[in-house]
Amino acid sequence: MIATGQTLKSSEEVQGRSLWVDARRRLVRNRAAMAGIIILALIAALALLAPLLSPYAYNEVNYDIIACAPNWWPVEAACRAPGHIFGTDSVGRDLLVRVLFGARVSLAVGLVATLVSLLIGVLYGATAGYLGGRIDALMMRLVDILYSLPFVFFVIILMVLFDRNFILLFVAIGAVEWLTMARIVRGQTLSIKQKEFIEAARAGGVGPFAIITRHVIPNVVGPVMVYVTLTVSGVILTESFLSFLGLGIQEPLTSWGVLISDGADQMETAPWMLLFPALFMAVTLFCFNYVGDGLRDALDPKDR
Amino acid sequence: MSALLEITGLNVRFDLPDGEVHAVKDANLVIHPGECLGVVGESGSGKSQLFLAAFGLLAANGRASGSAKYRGEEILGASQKHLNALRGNKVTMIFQDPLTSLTPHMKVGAQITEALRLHHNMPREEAVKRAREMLDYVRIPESARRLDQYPHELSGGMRQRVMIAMATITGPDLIIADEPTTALDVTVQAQILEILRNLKSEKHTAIAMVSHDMGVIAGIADRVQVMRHGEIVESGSADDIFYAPKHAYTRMLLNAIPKADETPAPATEIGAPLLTVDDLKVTFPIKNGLFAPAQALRAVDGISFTLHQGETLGVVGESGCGKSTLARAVLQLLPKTGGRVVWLGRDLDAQTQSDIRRLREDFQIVFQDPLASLDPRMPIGVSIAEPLKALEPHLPRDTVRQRVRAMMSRVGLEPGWINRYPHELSGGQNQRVGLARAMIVGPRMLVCDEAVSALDVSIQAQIVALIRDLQAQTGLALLFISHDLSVVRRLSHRVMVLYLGRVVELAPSAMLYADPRHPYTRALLSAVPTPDPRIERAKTRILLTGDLPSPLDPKAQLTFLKSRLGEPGYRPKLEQILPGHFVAEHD
Repeated sequence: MIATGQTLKSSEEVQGRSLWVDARRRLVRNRAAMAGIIILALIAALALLAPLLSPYAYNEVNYDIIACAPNWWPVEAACRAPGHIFGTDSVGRDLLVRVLFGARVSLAVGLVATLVSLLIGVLYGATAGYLGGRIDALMMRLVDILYSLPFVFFVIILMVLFDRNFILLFVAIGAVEWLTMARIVRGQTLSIKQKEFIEAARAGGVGPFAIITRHVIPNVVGPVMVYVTLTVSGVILTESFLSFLGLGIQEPLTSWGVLISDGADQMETAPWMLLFPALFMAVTLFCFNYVGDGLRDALDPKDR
Repeated sequence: MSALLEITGLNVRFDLPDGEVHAVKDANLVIHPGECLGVVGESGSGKSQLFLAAFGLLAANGRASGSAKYRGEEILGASQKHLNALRGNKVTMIFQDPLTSLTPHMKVGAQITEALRLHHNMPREEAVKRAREMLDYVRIPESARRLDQYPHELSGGMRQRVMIAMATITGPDLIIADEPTTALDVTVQAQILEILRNLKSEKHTAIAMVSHDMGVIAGIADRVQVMRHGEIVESGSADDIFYAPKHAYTRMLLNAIPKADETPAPATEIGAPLLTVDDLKVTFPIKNGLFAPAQALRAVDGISFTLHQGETLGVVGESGCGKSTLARAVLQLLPKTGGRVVWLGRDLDAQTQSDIRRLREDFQIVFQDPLASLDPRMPIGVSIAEPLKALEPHLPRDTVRQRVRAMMSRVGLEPGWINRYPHELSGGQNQRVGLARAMIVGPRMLVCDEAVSALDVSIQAQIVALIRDLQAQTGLALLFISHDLSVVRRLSHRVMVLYLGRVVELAPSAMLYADPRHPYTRALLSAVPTPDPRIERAKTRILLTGDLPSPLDPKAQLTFLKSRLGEPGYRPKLEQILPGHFVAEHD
C-alpha cells in the first residue's frame, strides 16, 4: 500500500482538520439546525432593535385601550387597538414591544445561565470523574450538599445579602443548574475513563488536563447537548417562577415568563396576551432543541 | 446417503442506508448426517449469515432467496411456527460469546431444561435429571450445584460447555457452531473441541463448524468450504483443502498461518540491556461488600526479566495470567505493589511523574482493540500527532505535520487520510494508525499488548511483517504480549510463559517450542491447533482438566507443584536447566 509519487504530491495539499472544523461543516449542512440558528438570530435581533422598531415604549401606559385586541383579530373582542399589532395588555401597554423586551431578559437568562452551568458543570464533572478516588468523592459530596439547599430559600438569602439585582438572577440560576450537569458529565466521564484510547493517550505522555479537554469532554458532548437544550427551557421557566415570587424581574421590565403568567390569568377575555409570548417562547425552545440536536450530531463523526 | 441439510443458490442481501449489501452470493452446500462441515472465512465473508438465513434468523433488513432443505423439506421462507419446531430441537446452534447467548437472569438448569420442556413436554424432574447427565457429559464438575447457578457465576469455558449441553440435550441431528471457541483460551478451546469431536463420533451428530481459524477446522472437519466476500470459493474434503488447495485465496489463508517449521528469529542485532524488571508485583484489592476486608488479587506476583536492545521478548499466557497488567505496570500506567523497574540504569520509582512523562518518548504501547484505542472523535492525523505534541511541545507545526505524513507512509497508510476518523478505516488500517502513533516519537521499546489478536489472519500477517520491518530499521526492543503462541513464535527471540502472574518457563524461542519442560507450557503448546488435518487427527492431546484456578486462591500457584500443597504461601522457584532456559519448579 505504498503511495506513489503522484498521490503523495496531491495528498500534500490535504490540510489537517480538527474535530471542531469538521463539526462546523457538518452543522452547516444540517438544515434543521441552521434554520433554528437563523430564527434564533432573528428573534435576538428583533429584541435588540425593539425600541427602533416600535413607536411605543415598553412602559408607556394608555388607560384608553386596556386589554384590547389587535385590529386583525378574527374573533369578536371587547375593544380594538389600531396600530398595536399584538394588541395591548391589562394596563394598555403595547404587547409587541413588551414581548420583544421580554425576549431580552429571557434569552439572556436562558443563554448566560446555561453557558455558566455548562462551563462549570462540564469542567467540574469531568475533573471529578477523571481524577476519581478521594478527590472525586469530595467534589461530589460538595455537589450533594449544594443540591440539598432549598432553591427558593437560597435565592432569598442571596437577595437579602446582595440586594435585588438582575445579575443575581444569573448567579442564582447558574449556581443551581450546574449541579445536575456536573453529575451527568461525571457519570459519562467514569465510563469514558475506562476506554483504551484514554490509556493510549496516557501512554503517549499526554497530561491529565489535556486528556480531560482533548479526549474526555469531546466524548461527553452527546448527553451534555441533550441536557443543555432541556436546561435552556428550564431556566427560562425558572426565571418566570422567580419573577412571580417577586424575586426576579420587576415591573415595568418584563420577561416571557412574566408575560405568560399574566396572559394565563386573562386567557378567557384576552387570549392574545397569552398567545404571543407563548408562541415566541415555543418557537425559541423548538429552535434550541434543533440546534442542540444538530450540535450533537455534528460532533459525532460517525453520523453522516 | 440422503443429505441432512442442502442449501442451493442461497443469496442474502441487506438493505442499508448506503445501499444494498450482497452478503452471501449463490451459496451451495450439503451436510450429511454425522459429518462435520467446516466453513472458513475471514470477518465479513458471510459465513455466519449463510446459516442464519437458512433457518430464518436474519436481521430485519435482510432478505434471503434460493433454497434450503432440511431432510428434503424446504425451510427457507417456512412459517415461524414450523421453524420453531425445528430450531432448538433438531437443529441447534452454539454462538461465539457464551455470556451474551445465555440469559443472565435465568439459572443454568432452567435454561438447559427449557428446550426439553418446550419441545418434548418432559416433566420437570426428568428434565433436570437429563440436564445433569448432559452437564456430566460436557465434563462440568459438580453438575448438581451448577444447575442452581447463574451464567455470570461460571467461567467462559464453563459457559460454552453449558451452551453445548443446551444444544445437545434435545438430541439434534445438526449443531451449527458459529466460532464456538474464538472467545476462549487455547487450553479451554482444546477441551471444547474434544467435546464436539466426541459428540460427532458417539452421538453421530452432524456439525457445521463456522470458524476463521484453519487450525480449529483442521482438527474437526471432514469437508471444508472456504468463503470470501460472500462467495464459496473452494470446497472439498479436508485433505484436499489443506494439502492441495486450488484457489489462490485458500492458499493465501494457509500461508498466512505461521508454520511449525518456519524459522522465526528476526535478524536484528541484540544489544545492551534496556529494561530490567525485578520481582515486579501488582495486586488489586477486591472488595466484597462495604465492611468485609478487601482481598488481594495478585495479578502480577513476582516477575523478573531483562529486555535487550533489538530483542523481542514474547509473553504468552491465557486470560487472567497477568500479561496485560505486566505491560501496564512496566509502562508505569498502573501503580505497582512491589519490585523494581529499571530503564537504562534509572530506577523508575525514583522518577517524578513529569520525568516519567518525558521518558515515555522511549517506551510506547500498541493496544489490542485498534478501534477502542483510538479516540472516535479525533481525526487519525491528530491522534498520530498527539504523543509528539505532548512530548515535544516546542516542535513547529510544519515539522509535526511532516513527521505525521512520513510516519503514515512508513506504516502503509495514505498520508492524505489524515482527516479520516477511526470508524472510516478497517481494523488493520486502524492498527497501523496505532503503530504510527506509538512509533512517531521514536521509542526504543515497544510493548504490543495483543496487538494483532483482533485481526483477521491475512491482516495479522501484514501487521506482524510491518512490526518486524520497523524493528529491523530502528533496532527497537519489543515486548510482544499475546495469547497466540504461533504469532509469538514468529517474532520472538525469547519467550516467557506466564501462569497466574508468575513465570513458569522462560527460554529462547526455538528451545521453548522444541523442548517445553513445564507441564503447563506443554499443555499450552499441545492445545494450539495446527492447520494440518493429519497431524491434528494423530495428535495425542495433553488436556488440562477443569478451569484455571482462581488467582484469589492461595494454593493456586501450587497447581503444578502438588508436593508443596502443605505450604500455601510457597511460590515455585525458577531454575535454570540449560543456559538461558528457566523452568519453574514442578512435580
